[in-house]
Amino acid sequence: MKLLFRIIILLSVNIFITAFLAFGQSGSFTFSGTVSTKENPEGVQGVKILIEELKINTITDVNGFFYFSIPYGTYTVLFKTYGFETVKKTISIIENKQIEINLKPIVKDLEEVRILAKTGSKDPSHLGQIELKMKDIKNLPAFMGEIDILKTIQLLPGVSSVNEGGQGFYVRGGSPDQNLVLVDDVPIYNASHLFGFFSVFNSDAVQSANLIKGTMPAHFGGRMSSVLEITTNEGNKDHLKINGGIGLIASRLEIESPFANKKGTIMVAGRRTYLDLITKPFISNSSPFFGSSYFFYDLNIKINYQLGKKDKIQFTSYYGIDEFKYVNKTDEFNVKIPWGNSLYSIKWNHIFNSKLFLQTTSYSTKYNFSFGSEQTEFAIKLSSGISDLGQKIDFTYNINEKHKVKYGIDYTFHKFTPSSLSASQGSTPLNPGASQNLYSHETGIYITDDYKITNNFNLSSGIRYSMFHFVGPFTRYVHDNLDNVNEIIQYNKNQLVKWYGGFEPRITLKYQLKNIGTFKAGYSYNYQYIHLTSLSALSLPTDIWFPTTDLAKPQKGYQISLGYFKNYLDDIIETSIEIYYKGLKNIVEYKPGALPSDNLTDNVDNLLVFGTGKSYGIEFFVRKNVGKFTGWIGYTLAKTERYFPDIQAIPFPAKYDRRHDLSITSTYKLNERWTFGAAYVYATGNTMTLPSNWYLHEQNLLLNYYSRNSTRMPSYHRLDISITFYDKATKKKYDTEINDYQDVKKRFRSNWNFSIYNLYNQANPFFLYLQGSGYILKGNFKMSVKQVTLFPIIPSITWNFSF
Amino acid sequence: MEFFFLTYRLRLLICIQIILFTSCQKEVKIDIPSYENKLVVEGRIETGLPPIILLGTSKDIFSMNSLDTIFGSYITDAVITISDGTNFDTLQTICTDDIPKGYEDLGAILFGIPSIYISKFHLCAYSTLNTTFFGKVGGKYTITIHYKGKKYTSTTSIPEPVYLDTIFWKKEKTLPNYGLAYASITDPIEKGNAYFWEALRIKTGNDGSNVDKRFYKPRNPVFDDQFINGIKFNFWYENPRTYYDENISDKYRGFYLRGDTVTIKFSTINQVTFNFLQKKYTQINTGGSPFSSPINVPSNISGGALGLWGGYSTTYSTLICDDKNQ
Repeated sequence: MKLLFRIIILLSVNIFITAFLAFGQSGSFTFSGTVSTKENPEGVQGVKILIEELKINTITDVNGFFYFSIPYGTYTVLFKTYGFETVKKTISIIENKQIEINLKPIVKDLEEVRILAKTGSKDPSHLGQIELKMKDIKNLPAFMGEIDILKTIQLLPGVSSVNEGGQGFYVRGGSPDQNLVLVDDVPIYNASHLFGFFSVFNSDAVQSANLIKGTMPAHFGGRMSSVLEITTNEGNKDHLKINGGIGLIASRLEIESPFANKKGTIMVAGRRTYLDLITKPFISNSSPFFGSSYFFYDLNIKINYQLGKKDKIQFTSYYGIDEFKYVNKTDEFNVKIPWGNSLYSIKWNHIFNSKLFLQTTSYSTKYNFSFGSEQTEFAIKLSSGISDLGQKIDFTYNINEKHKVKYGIDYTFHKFTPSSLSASQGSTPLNPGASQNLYSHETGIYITDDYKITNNFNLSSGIRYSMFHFVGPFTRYVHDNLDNVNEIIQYNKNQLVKWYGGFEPRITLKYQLKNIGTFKAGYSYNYQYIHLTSLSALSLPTDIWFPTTDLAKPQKGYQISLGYFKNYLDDIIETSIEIYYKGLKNIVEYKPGALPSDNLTDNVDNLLVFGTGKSYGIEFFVRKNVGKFTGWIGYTLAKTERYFPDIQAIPFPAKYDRRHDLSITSTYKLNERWTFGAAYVYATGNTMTLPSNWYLHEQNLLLNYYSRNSTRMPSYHRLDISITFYDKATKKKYDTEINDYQDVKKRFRSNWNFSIYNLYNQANPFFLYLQGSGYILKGNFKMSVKQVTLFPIIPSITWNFSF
Repeated sequence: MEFFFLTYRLRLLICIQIILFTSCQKEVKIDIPSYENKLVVEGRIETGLPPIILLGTSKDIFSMNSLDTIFGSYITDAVITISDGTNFDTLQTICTDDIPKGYEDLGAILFGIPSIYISKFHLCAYSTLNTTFFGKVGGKYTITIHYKGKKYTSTTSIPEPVYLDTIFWKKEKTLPNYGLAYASITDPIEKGNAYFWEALRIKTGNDGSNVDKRFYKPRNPVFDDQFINGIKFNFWYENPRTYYDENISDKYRGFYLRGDTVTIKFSTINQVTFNFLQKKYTQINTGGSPFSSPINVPSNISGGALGLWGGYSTTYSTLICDDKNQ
């Protein structure tokens, strides 16, 4: 605690002194502005701005904004980024000046543009940050024709998938619930369709994804392992634009348009599967399975509106539903499982002056899962979910071009429904007990400080103070030593059940040595007040979210990371090595032997055990971003352990502990019409728990499990390839003025993407199980381990278009 | 009833597996670390019957390849005592060698193996003919096992029985000669009641003996009053024998045939016994699935042994499968 206090004092002093010095400057004017491109009219990040005479430079932030504080004079300013023509401007500073720059691509076809994605080497503040642009991954192989940004993220070092085809991902040994997934700054709780095989992110609607797996800035809170920011398309500012695609299992359409004299833009994107429509003709009315179906759809809407020069309003929404129905008339059995997310947000950006900016976001986000089933006379409906209402207020203050402060507050009201059950038998309603909703308030207040102390040395520091109020109405079932309920405590509405709070310091140091490279070091401490529990070895929509309570304490975690970054060939090739150590406390697991029905008439946290975890590893990354041949190689060597004294007396490997993880991706653009892509992955097999012994009880064979996650599945490896064939960019048009045909640019463009998933048909393990064969009493009974493989070689084809 | 709730996850599993249309499987060689084998207790005491206890040991997972391995693991040299809180007795061994000719079927019920194996293996159960220790409603029974210098103890009880209100057969809409066994009970107002269902058809086979040699259990024979506390409700159970009969097609599995006469053994059990049996059948039904977490069946034997010493408050009813009993 003393150390923490010292850090806070140091940070405060640092911010105070630098702010004081900044305000004390005289004779300087602010030179600021926004850099945009046709594709990113709201602003593009990472553009380098150089003032030649002063030999100072900066790069644009996430909104495309830059800022200098410079003296009176005339200067030559260069705006540079890869794939775009460098803009050279002469400016006279006689007062505060603000400009807008629009960059033009070097090549005519926007699809060919490669914006250099940022890694830690380019970003001044954050360690372990990688950004992916959607257009950069569109030529990579697509699983069943669906381009998926979450699957691409799983190819990055330090990130691994939950299971084959799954959307859940682990970052540096953290569990999936420890990843803060944001869609335009709003959290989304279950980012997957089709039991996890497809992400909720429509590739046409997504502009980019930014993953922070290292030290996360203090304005992010509530999760321990990573932040994944998904930014959706802003909408075209100039004209109506339509994109779409028809794939094997789903089709999608995206429309962008300006409105109100280009003061506003709108983007609407929808996607729907047609598995139900494809299978319908094959299930006749007389079939016992008639009525069985599966589909998902999602809809993204984003509206921007500029209110004068200083204000902008943005509305974002996402709505997605999966619905699975299974009917078996023979058994008088049917199941209906709908689940989905919805989120809505309104954001207001205001520029007070060239130094001070405000961004406020109000949002609502929900995830609901339901399971309804009927058989003979019995009916059951089980549902669970989480619903948030939130507000964020962020201020950015640019003290000078070397020094920026960001501060703000965020608040979330959580409503959790861990399990709600209704059941009936015939006309008799059964008594599964009242469903418990759990309520809580989560608040964070933060300040971050980015300070370029010298040209070579950068300090990014921040601190966050978070609070969590778990409030009533709430019923606590108190268990005795024999696990029987011996007391019931009732809390009234808004009555405080338990309060938690704590400081979360974050710091990153960056030291750049010319021709040698950049060194970075980071430390972060995080609180997480929500938990995700699963009775499954896989990540399923049935997993339950629930809050920190009087019994379940907040998860706490720290991460220390060090990195070395070096770029070659004028930043065409980036390389990095990062090492990390992560410690976790108060993580949860179900008690051994807990059953799903136990949740229904008890507090979820009564069924949990609490433990600690640690993870450490080293990551290597090489990436080429520019040219005909692009791609990356990522390799991670890591170890992840969990320790739950109530499960096992000694620590055991986490189920996603992977010693080796290698990913290689590449795309090769042969010419204007042909592009080839490939992705190869190799990973040590996941761990799992298989029984070690058997015994007989009243003629039944029972299994006994001893050591958690002591069995390792075979290694996983796979090669995917893709070919994208573009139509001609131009067409012949007769020009009456010259009486001849001219090449003119086509407005309607299309391409075919052919992908093959698992090219060499590797039988990779999805899970293992023990199977007995033969008969015990005949003496030929034998136990063997069976491996289930999910996806063999899968070809797919997608037609994409835009106009 | 419990079948319905317990199979919620099974149903989800079925649904997911339907989606996994391309999955395939193969045998792989995997190292599974083995651990020390433990004493296994199979003990029960029912209303009006003597206690019966079999002792065995657990085995390494890949070790099961012969009958000798299986039946050779039963223990015959332990000392077991029983107490009802007032009286005390030492249980005697009743071994397969002691079973007189003509009583092999009874021996088979006792040891849970076909009667043809009775004479082939030397198995012993622990019991007593002291009627003081025949199960009584409200009785509390403690056993103490001394084996290889270790001591194991356990206590169970026989609760007040809850009787079935009615029992009837209900024909299927599409199969009028087949149907499930239905029953209704009124659960007592106090929480924590639990039940166990077994069935035996009274039907003479071609060899002149009854086709069912013992009571059989359906796939999920236990339920408690977690969701039905204090109410009267109907429930149904399938015919467990059809699952073992290779001559019955899937369409008819689970049903009793019109004309069947079935003895239903319906036991009220305490929560500890329920806990063991619930986890046992959950493991049998979901074991190995990646959609479930590993479940060890919780023993109620102190001292580190596996298994159950369980008390059963049994009641018997007869079900005649005909239209009158619908």
